[in-house]
Amino acid sequence: MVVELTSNAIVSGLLLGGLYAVASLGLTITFGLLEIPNIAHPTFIVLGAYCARFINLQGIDPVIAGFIFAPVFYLGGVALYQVYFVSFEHRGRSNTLQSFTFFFGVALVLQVSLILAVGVDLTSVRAAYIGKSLTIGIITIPYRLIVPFAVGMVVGVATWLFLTRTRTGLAIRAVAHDANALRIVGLSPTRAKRHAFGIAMMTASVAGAALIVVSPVDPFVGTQYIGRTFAIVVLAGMGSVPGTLAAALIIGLLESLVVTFIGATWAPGISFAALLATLAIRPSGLFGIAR
Amino acid sequence: MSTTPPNTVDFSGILRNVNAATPDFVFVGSYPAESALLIRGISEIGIADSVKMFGGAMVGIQYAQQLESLGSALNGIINYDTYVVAPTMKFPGIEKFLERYRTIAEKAKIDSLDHFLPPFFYAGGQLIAAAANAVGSINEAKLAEWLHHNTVETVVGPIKFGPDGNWAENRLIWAQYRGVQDANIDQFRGPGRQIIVQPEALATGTVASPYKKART
Repeated sequence: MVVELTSNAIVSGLLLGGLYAVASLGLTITFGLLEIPNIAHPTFIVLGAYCARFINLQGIDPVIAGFIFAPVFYLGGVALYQVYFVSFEHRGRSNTLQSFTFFFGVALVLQVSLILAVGVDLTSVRAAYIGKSLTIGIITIPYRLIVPFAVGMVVGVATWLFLTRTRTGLAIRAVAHDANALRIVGLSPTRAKRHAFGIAMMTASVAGAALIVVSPVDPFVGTQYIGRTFAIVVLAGMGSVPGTLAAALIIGLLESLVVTFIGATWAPGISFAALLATLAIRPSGLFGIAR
Repeated sequence: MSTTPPNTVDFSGILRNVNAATPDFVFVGSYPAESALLIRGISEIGIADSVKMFGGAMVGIQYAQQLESLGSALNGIINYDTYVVAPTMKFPGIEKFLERYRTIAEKAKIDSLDHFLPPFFYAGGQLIAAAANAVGSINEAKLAEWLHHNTVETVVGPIKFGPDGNWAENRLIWAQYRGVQDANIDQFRGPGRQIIVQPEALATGTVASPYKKART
């Protein structure tokens, strides 16, 4: 029985980590690379979930819906960064407190807009794989978790390849280290940041689709992910995509083991316990480079 | 006993522990998201053969969106409710009320099934109206005094309060989902999908058990 419980807890935890990974990727870019504390990111994930639900009502798979809406989210991200740039960075006011206030306000406006548009009731999606599971020996895996895990890994690897193998990706990483150096070589740091913000928002669309496959959502659910996603980004090492994937899997795994063997009440604390323990030993995070 | 924080999204570990304990009964007290995830989890993980009854105080599954979304996964669950369509609950005025409410609810894009709370809120209004008409005043003490000593006919049946202010007779109903199909909210507008098992005065059937068998 213990072997069965442990095996299932490990698999469920890793799959859950896939959801956390895709939910944290956007913050890895905005907070980890650009050092913009986009606290509104989880609320944009909820918006993505509702967009997926809207398309799902037409009979299209919610995950596909997440990818369909991604370009729209990209444009929204570009526009949001432009507002942030004009209001704060351009005027030299982009300190952490003001940025937090701005994005907190954005999250609040978005949340209230969602409430007005769709109400406060829980909503979910339909897909052939929801409510079914795959059994391999003693391990039973819900497809509801397999699909978001696959999405998380694919989007994570694609983001990593983009940031490491393309000129635009390299520019985004460079702006995080030295914006002036980027100017010297003739590239615009603002343009790179705008592009990065758009890409981060694209991941919110896909993460929203993954989230609503895993569990029903309401306009308030984003607040439950703020702490966990920020913890994953810091645990990973600021701006590290592989670190984000690893940290998300670790958090998912630890939470699942805690739920199974200690009690679900303790599970939310595990993100922060792991964060504190790691930072005490390795302040730059799992994959971070000391600056 | 197992407790969960409100942001739990995966109940598979908890359900496996429940199954490992081979319980006779599983009583769940949960909020809407957790209710839905637990029910989904049972479809995915399965439930121990030992479980005779499953359910309890699961908030959220009374609403149209969840009833439609969870569909057949609800079968066998015994849960609290306030009103379901049943021959024993065909009180004077209820059908007219539901018809009127539905028209308004659909326009306002709110819960279109209108069974869980609206009839009781309307009955609350009927209580105050009856008391105010009887005492000829809206003085709260006089209204309360009258309501303590009189029975009022409402859309959810006769309401009478006991000396302690609670209902003289337990009126919360416990209903078991049976034969529920997927993605069809209209099936709940007629009788037969929620069998009232308690209180006896309103019962339309007995408990189907064990839970695993009742799910099919």
